Amino acid sequence: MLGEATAANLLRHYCVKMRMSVEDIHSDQLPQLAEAMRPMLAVWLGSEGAAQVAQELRQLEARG
Amino acid sequence: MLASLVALPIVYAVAVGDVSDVRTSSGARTVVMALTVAVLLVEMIALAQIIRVRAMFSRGDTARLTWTLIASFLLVRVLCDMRLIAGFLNLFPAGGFNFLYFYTVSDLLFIAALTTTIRLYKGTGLKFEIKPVDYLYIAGAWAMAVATILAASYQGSATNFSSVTGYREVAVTVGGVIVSLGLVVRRYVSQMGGGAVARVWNTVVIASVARDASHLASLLVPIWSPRYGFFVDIYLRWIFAICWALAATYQLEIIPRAAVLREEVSPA
Repeated sequence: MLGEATAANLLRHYCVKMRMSVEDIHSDQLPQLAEAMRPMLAVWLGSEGAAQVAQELRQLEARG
Repeated sequence: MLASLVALPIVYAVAVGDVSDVRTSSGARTVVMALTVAVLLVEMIALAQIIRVRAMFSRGDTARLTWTLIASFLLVRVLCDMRLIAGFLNLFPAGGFNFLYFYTVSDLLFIAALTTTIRLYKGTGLKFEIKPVDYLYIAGAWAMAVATILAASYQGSATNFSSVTGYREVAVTVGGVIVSLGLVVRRYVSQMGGGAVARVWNTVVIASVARDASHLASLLVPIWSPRYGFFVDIYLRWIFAICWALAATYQLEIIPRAAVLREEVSPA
């Protein structure tokens, strides 16, 4: 949706903000990641689009 | 659209032929008039796209204000272009050039849009920084403004703000602010590693630079090349228009995928 490069850097920026490594993100953290990133995603996608991306990330975690 | 950037100067050169005073050339006037109308049509398409982009954001979304301001900026420009064309066609009584300052009003709306965008990015809590090279680019934009004002002084119209040249001095100064803020936004999105978001704002910066350059070019190019002086201003405004149409299309390509996701997750 945002483009792979934008999404990857968004994740990297988020990890810097949370003072964690990208490699430390596990699948069970995806729901928390999704919620935390919603304000950032809303800048480009609007609140509805950000909510849907967050939903997708939660579903990724559910599928394992 | 991009092929037009090569084709248009060729078409103009053929239309002008060997006339000594290009302003008396009906071929040149036809090409410039046709391109002026084309600019208006493309800006109207861009405006329609931007209104669709704005509708994708909810009332509570801060970005909705940004896109509302951009839509307002383009709307005022479209109305100004209509007025300009009506003047060319003698559909409006001649009354000086003060109406050109409505373009300045539209520019101020775009400055507000850029300012809200910068605040929006800073509000995410992510660390966005301007690099030293960006100050060089910003200096270049202001050098263009200074050069335009100097060129206007050379032509003896520096203090006559009711003339087209006087308007251009104001426009290029406001344009310098726009390009400066646009470069800041561009730096922020480039830190996102390029991709879909960066494509939108890179295109917006190109549009802003093209429009700002049109003011300087309209003063300088006629001195060096009277033949192309008549054409260069509208050519740069054509670049401005197609860049805005592209930027709006790129932004729409980002957001509708959210609507597709919504359908996949919970089809009606």
